[in-house]
Amino acid sequence: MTMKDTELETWQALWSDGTDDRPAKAPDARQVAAAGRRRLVWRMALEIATAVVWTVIAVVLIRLRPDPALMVLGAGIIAFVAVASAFSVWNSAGIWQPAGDSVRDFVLIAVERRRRDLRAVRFGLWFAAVETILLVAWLVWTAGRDVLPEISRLSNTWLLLPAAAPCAIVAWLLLLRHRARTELAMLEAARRQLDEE
Amino acid sequence: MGDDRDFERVLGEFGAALRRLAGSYEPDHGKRDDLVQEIAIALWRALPRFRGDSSLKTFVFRVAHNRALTHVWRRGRVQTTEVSEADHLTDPAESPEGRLARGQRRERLDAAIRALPIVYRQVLTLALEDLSNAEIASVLGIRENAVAVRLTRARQALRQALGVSP
Repeated sequence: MTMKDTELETWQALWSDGTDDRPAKAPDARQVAAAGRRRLVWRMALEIATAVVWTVIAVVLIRLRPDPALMVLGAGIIAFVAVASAFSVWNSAGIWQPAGDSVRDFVLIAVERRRRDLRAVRFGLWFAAVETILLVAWLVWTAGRDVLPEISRLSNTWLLLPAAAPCAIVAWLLLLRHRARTELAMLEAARRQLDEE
Repeated sequence: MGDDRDFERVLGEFGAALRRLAGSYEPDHGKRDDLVQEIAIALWRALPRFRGDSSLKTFVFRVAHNRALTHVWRRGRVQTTEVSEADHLTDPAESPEGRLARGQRRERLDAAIRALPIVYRQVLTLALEDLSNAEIASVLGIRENAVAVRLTRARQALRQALGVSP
């Protein structure tokens, strides 16, 4: 046995010394796991529900009155929902499972997931910009006509919501971008270290 | 594999090792328990996928390390615990004072390991859990000679951190 093995054995003895030997609490683990799955299901349900709600709003607008402005608005909403849903499906393809179970596979899939997050943020920012531009164009086009009297009758508080919502979404996207970039930098560093030898 | 009794058995058999592993990633004792729970959850999810292609030990450590890495990266920081200037690791004293000193040496070893870069920390903690180079290679998904190189460097870095001469 070499000196280095003796050294490792000394470290091993110290490493194992005084460790709490109780097993990890399985019932807690299962409860949290179940909560995690519920969160995932809720997130998916929320995405689907949002798409359905906007599609219903678009159909209601189209069928409300035979007005070309409403038809354009409704069709625009449906187009946006379709583009966003298609992007979501495309962007999440191939990142559900790592190629294997090793740490290397895990790092690679984690890097790819963060890249997809950043791609989603870029898409979200462009999406919000285009949406705003087209909405403003639509408002300019319909200026002077009370195309939606049902909405213009609402109080100012309700009318502020469509303006506040995009601002909140952009702020959330920027926060997501910051987190994703931080994580990606650390993951890339880990990947470089893994590629060293 | 994958029923509840298998899961309980794995947690019983590897509970202490999982705590030690969690300690090498998380210095805060409260958060360390959370990390052990996260690892247990990851194992519960992963066990049905275990087909016996590798040993159960390498499978458990692979899942645990992956979960611990997520824990570190989600927190957005790398552990940089300071190693104090306490006495070094080969003193065999066993009186109450000796036990206290031993506890301090254990803490110091933990802190020194946490201060290592993650790739060194991984090979070293797996070696301390008595995994062979082949098993470590299987856990980390790297070649066996890469494990040997990394382990040599990790031990060198640990000696340096502990102020032990080679």
